[in-house]
Amino acid sequence: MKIETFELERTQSLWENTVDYNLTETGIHPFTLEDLLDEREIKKLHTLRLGYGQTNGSIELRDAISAMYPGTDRDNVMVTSGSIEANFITIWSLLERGDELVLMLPNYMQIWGIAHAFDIKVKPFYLKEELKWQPDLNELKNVVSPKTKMIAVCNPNNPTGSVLSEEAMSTIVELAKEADAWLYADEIYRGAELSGKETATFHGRYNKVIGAGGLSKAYAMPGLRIGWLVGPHKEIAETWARRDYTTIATSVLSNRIAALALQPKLRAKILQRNRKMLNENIIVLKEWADSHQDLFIFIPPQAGGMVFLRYNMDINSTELVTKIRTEKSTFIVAGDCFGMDHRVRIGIGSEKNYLRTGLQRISETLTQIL
Amino acid sequence: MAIEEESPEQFGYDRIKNNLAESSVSDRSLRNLGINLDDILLCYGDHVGHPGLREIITQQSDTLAVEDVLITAGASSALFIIATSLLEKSDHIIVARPNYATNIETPRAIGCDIGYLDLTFENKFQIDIDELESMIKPNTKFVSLTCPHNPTGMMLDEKELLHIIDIVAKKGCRLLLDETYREMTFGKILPMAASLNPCVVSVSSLSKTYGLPGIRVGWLVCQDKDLMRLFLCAKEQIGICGSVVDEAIGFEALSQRDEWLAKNNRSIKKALKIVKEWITQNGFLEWIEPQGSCVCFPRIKHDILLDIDDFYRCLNEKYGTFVGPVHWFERSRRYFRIGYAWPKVDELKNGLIGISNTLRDLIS
Repeated sequence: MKIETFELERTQSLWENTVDYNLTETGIHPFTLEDLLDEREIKKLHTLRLGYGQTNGSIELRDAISAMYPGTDRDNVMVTSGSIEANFITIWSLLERGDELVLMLPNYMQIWGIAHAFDIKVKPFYLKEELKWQPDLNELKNVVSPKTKMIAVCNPNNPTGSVLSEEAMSTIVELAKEADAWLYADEIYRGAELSGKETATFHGRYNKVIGAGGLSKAYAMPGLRIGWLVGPHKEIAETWARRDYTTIATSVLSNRIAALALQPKLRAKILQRNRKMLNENIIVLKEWADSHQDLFIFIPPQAGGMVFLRYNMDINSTELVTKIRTEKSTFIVAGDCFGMDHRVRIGIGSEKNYLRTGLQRISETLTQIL
Repeated sequence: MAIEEESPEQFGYDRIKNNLAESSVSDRSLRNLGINLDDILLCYGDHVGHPGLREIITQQSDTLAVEDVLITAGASSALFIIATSLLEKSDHIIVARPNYATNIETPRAIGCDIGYLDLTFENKFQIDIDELESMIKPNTKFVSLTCPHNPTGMMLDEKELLHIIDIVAKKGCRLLLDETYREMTFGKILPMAASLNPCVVSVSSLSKTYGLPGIRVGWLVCQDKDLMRLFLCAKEQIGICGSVVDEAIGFEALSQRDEWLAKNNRSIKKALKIVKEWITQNGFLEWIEPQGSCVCFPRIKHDILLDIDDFYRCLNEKYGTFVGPVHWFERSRRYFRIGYAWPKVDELKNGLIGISNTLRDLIS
């Protein structure tokens, strides 16, 4: 296999721990175990046997996940090492060399990279800024063909933070049905809606939907490496077989903590804390953007810890981001990582003062350039 | 893979009285390690892995640098990363057989041309180095070995290891050495092979020797910088980074390495002695006594006639005893693997009695 460098992750990896202000994260400021669990539960963790867990995820965790998707049971669920592994094994299980994959762009570019490694033909369709980051449905209809094997979407979307309209969702489902194609929905940002109204899942709208979720973004626990797939029994069993090659199992500790976090009461508490942070931070971001008059144009995100801004300056996005990083030790993602220059993605999931100072540092560089 | 689908954790631990199927030592808990996790921030970890953990791994050699170590989600994930980074359809590789299933199944899934280096009972499961050399072709990407070997527990000595590295280096291919059991040996611990030559990739984990398979911490070590860049690419596509909780525990466990190994090796030796006495007395089985690891690979003597399906049925159902069935390793079904360091002494003894009783029941 020819695996290409995953530019976004690599750039993040290279610098995220060396800068003073890292505003590249799209999740929300992570929890500690002490924030999440009471003393009794933490104490119980200390006596857990660190033996191999069930390779498809613990029963308690799969039950907790299944409870969030009506009509499913634990065998519709496969626990993965983050939703990134969910993406990887889904593409690997369901598609073959030469297959046609219709992919929503802009996108966290992992699926793009895997598709190239497996020699899968990628046909993009775009979310349009002029449509408030909704897809042009007529254009989408022209992209999907009878040869399409899978339509892959990320909803809520990274990097734009947009949520598909009901019309867009039903059109995508219809098109997948017509082509008899898989519909793969990466829904990792579900639960991180600023309005508090949870995004509808694609799961259950069609019998060939595979949904992915995880605890890294909306739940603010990326360090646990817990993601999941929800889909038909047969395909979930197929991904399980592939999974035995990649990582065998996820951490038993992570399985236990995740199962606790997904119990309705704690889950609501987690999501509420995160939503509150996002709503406070989006104001900080807006005020900051406004202070630069007409420099930035952006559609406020509906979900997720990030804002995707376009800027009116004659400087390449990688160059701009590098300048801010080297001069001000503050790190944001260049639009180039998504194939869209003259844009930057700024994470707004961190603590408020951290975000504020990071943005101030960016302003210092901007003032210099202008 | 059969080995995962039929594993004890899928079968249900509660249905097994005597579990001799595990290839690791007994699982430990956080209390046993004395670790406090309360304050760990559940953020994304370093993509290359916990810095302290990488550092501590390099301390076992003078030649290794921190950059030579990549932490992975268990050794299986390291093996997957290596296979997907280095292999393409129709590439040739050489794999010792029997072997841990992933080492064969992943290259097979990629569509590689696989040359099997068969380890035989008659040759004491030793690697025939001349045969190995003769099997290397111009398009051989790597030679994949495990030392100490799973499931036989046999080892290369240092001279043999150096000889193999020399051959592989001269032929311009690589050695992939699964060293999961390296520190679990009854003689001298071999050096980490990757510290000896840049053409070697060493793989190991905390799952077997350290009794911590439930935290998914393994690693690969290699001095070839270009290769390490490829491996990181693959890791980022598959999993980004490991669990920060797991890696913090891993760091702690490796910091206690010396005390742990001393204690661990004592109990393994004790368990091996029990198995050895049992095999000698039992009369139905023969084996090559292992030199390392915590598994052995006995076989039912050829003049003992029985139906192998009956053997497993009786062993599992009547005596509640579970061993590693041989089809996991693609060998004659008269072999099976006993993991003797995972069960407690009583459970081990009862399991061995279960095997003897099964054979006695079926023969009489």
